[in-house]
Amino acid sequence: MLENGASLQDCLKRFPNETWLVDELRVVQSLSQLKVTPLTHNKVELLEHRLKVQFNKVQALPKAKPRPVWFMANRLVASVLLVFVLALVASGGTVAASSSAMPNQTLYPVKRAWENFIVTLASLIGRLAEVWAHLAQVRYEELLYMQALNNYTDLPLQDFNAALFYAQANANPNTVSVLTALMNEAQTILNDASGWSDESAYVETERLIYAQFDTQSATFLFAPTNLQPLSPTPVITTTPSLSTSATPITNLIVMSSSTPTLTATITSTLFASPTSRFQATATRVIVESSAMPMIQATLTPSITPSLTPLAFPQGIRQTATPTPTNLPIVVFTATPLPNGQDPVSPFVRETFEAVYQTQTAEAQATEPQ
Amino acid sequence: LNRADEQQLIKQAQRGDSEAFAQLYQAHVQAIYRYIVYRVSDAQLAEDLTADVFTRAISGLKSYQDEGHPFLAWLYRIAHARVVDTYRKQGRRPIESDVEEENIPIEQDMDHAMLKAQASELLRNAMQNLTDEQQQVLILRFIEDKRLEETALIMGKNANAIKALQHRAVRSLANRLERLGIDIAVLLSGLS
Repeated sequence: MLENGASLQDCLKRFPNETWLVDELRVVQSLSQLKVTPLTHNKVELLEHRLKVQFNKVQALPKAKPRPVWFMANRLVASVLLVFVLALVASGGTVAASSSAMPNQTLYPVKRAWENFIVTLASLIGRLAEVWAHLAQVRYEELLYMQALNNYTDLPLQDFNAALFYAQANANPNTVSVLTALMNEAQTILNDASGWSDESAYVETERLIYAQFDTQSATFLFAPTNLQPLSPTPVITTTPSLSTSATPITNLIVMSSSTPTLTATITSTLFASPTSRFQATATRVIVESSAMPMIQATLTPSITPSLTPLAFPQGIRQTATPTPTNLPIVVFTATPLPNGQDPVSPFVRETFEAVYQTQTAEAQATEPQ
Repeated sequence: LNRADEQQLIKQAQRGDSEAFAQLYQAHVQAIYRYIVYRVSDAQLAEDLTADVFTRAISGLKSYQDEGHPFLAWLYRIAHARVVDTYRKQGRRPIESDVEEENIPIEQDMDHAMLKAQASELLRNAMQNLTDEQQQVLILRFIEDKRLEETALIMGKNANAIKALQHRAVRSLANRLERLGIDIAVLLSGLS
């Protein structure tokens, strides 16, 4: 700043226009005059010794291990979780707003997506019973809402059906009372079956809401006692002319596996006795393992000498032939019928006709001339 | 210690040569100590912080990369961080406090040594009320007599920013002394 031993005054004389800087120049000059007593030699040596010890300690430390792969993986997982949580927080308002959405409302898909997420979480922490019981109630309320609007679209019914199914399947003693109350209430509402076109969903739902909780097995049992028969049950008494002591039982099981063709089981029981009864019963039952209704026809005809009144449905391929003395369980498999025809009804109808003819013949034979 | 020698010593120290590090220490310890003592005005604390600066330098030596800057610039940055950290732990000192200090007037008939010590004390106290950066630039530029570019390197700023900062620092210090009722001319004469 000052050259050749010049004083501040000398400097200001050379630059008279800069005299306004005099105070600042004096400050700077004062700073340059500041002196600090340096560290003494002994202190420097002492500190040097300490630092050498420290230096050697640091050198003796083992080299840091490279970060393992899982460390990076954990960071990645943490990052993904963080993004997920942020997204969750950001969408929290939408989720909250959607909590009361009904099936005909815009936010309903958000509500269902959130429920799916909750179900996934519940499966991880073992709380599926409570979550599904709650969801069954929610679905039922939605069903009521849609019914109140006279809206009988099948989806709410199907959703209630599915939720109730999972609630029963995952039920525990804590949720049984809730579910039972729900099922009782649903029985009154679902009495009106006229609105839904999806009969299978209706029937399946009906089966679910009439289920009984078995405390021994801690499961819901499904009894088909409430199910409606497909056709009236004829009871015909006749006196056959056949004399035989054999009581063969033949179970004819006919199955059709084509979808949506009905799966049918036909059981035919043949027996003969001096005063036999002829029974032909067709009932509709639900198979436990299938959501589709299955037709079961139980026929208990009297055996006749010819034993040929039964007409098998079209397309049925017989794989075994019963014999009067040793009638095995015969299984028939059916190929799908064209136009979704019911393979069972002709069989029942023709059986009825055979019985009628037998009765007529019997009546004519016994009628007084 | 020229730049090439310093670079060689750094490499040796990084390979575990304690003597090389000792030479670096010997070359810079007084500068670091001075810098710290101007900042904290406490010789004992300055000694402790100086030791701390070099201890941290040992810890960070492996990861130190010579990017063409003087080793001292790195040590200054560590020292600055230590001083700031000390302020933070102790509770920040008042900046531009309105509390007027009791000043002992500087009289021309004072003993010269006493006069000088008193003037130094006043100036350093006044400096304590400047910002960290202002103190740093004054120390480096006018007490340690670092060149503009070197100061810029140490403080991580460009030369123009240092010029502006330096101007504000000098102006602030002059104002502070004026507010304390200190005649700068008398102060300067006391220091001379």
